[in-house]
Amino acid sequence: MLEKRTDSRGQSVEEVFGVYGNMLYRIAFVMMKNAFDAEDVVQDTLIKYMEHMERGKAFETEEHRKAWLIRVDSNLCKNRLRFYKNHPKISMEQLSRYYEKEEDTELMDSLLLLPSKYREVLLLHYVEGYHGREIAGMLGLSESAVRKRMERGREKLRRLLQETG
Amino acid sequence: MDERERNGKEMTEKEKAEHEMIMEEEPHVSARGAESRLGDAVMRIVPDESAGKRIIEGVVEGRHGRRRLTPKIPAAVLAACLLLSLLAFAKPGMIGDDIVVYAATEEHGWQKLKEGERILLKMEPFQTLEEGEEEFRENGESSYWPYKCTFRVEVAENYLYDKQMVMIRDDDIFERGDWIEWWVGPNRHEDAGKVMQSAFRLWIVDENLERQAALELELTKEDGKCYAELKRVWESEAYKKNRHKR
Repeated sequence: MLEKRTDSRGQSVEEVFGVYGNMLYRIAFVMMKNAFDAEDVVQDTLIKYMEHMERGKAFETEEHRKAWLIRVDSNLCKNRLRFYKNHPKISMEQLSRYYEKEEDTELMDSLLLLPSKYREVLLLHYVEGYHGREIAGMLGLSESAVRKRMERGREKLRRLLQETG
Repeated sequence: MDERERNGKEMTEKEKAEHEMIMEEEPHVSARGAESRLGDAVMRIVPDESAGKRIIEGVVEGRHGRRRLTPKIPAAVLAACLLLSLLAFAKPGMIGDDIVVYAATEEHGWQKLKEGERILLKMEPFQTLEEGEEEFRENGESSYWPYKCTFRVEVAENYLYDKQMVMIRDDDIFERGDWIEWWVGPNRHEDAGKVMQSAFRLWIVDENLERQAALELELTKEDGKCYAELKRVWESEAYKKNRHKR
C-alpha cells in the first residue's frame, strides 16, 4: 500500500483528480450509463496513470497527458461494456439528479440509447471539444471512421429525439 | 507510418480542406440542433464529493475494481422456497457449503475449487478486438486478451462481492453476479519468470449485512499459465462454530 501517491511531477492523486476527474467521470458515466461503474473506471484510470508515471514515463505536453487519460478511460469502459454485453443494464434514474428540465433528461436518455461507439465520438467532439483528427488519434481509428461515426451518431440522436419529442 | 498517416497522405489537398471544414464547422451546425444542448447537459455530470473521495482513496491504496459492495440477497419468499427445495434435494456435500466456486479446467471441465488446493485453469482462446480495430498495446494499456479463464460462483446464503487488487498487469477481471471472467493479457517479455498474483474477495454476510466470513479467490499467473486457489481468509467466531456444526 502506498501512503501518498504522487506522479513524476510531484502531483498528488487529489491534484490530478482535481484537474481531470470531472472529465474522466463524464466520459465514463456516458459510456457506462451508471455511477458505480463510472467511479470504478475513473479509479482504475488514475491507478494506471500513477503506475505509468511511477515507471518514469513522461508526457510531452499537457494535451498529451489529457489525451492519454481519455484513451485509457475510454478503453477501460469498452472492456467493461464487452463483458456486460450479454447482461445489459440501464439505470437512467441516476440521471435525474443532474437535470431539472424534461428536455435535458430526454436528450440524455437519447444519447445513452446510442451504441457506445457513437456516444464516445459525440462526447469527445461536442463536450470535450476535440476534432476528427484528434479523436482518431486517441481512439486508434481512421479519420474517415470517426467522421462516419459522427454522422451516424448525430442522425440516430436526431431520430431518437424526434421519436421521444 | 501508421494507417492514419497513410490515409492522410492519400487524401488530396481539396479533400483535406473539405474534411477539415466539415469537422471545424460542426459546432456551428450543432448550434441549430439538439447537439448544441449536449455539451451543457453532459457538463452537468460530475462526481459528487463522496464519490470523489472514494475514487481518490481507492487510487491511494492502489485498489482496483469495486469499492461498492454488491448485495446478492435472495428475494424473500421465492428464494426461501428455492432454498428449502434445494435443501430437500441437494446432493450430500452441498449442504453447508457457504460459497462454491467452479473453475473451467482443461482436464476436468468445471472443477469445484477446494480450499487450499491450487488448480491449473483452462485458458480459452479469446479475442476481443472488434472488426477493423487495431491491437492497442501502448503505455501499458491493452485492448486485447488472447485468453480468458472462467469461474462460476454458487452461494447458498447472503453474500457480498468485494474485489480487491484484481488486476494483473494488463489483465482484467470482471464479476457479474454468479459469473467471473479473467481476461488474460498477452505475455510480455519483461514478465518472464515473474509470478503475478491478485485476489478476489467474497464476503458472506448475515441478514443484517454484517460480515461473517471472507473467502479469497487467489489468481496466479506464472510462466504464462493461470492458476486459482480458494482461501478462507477470515470468519467470525459465531460463523466458525455454525459452519463446523453443519
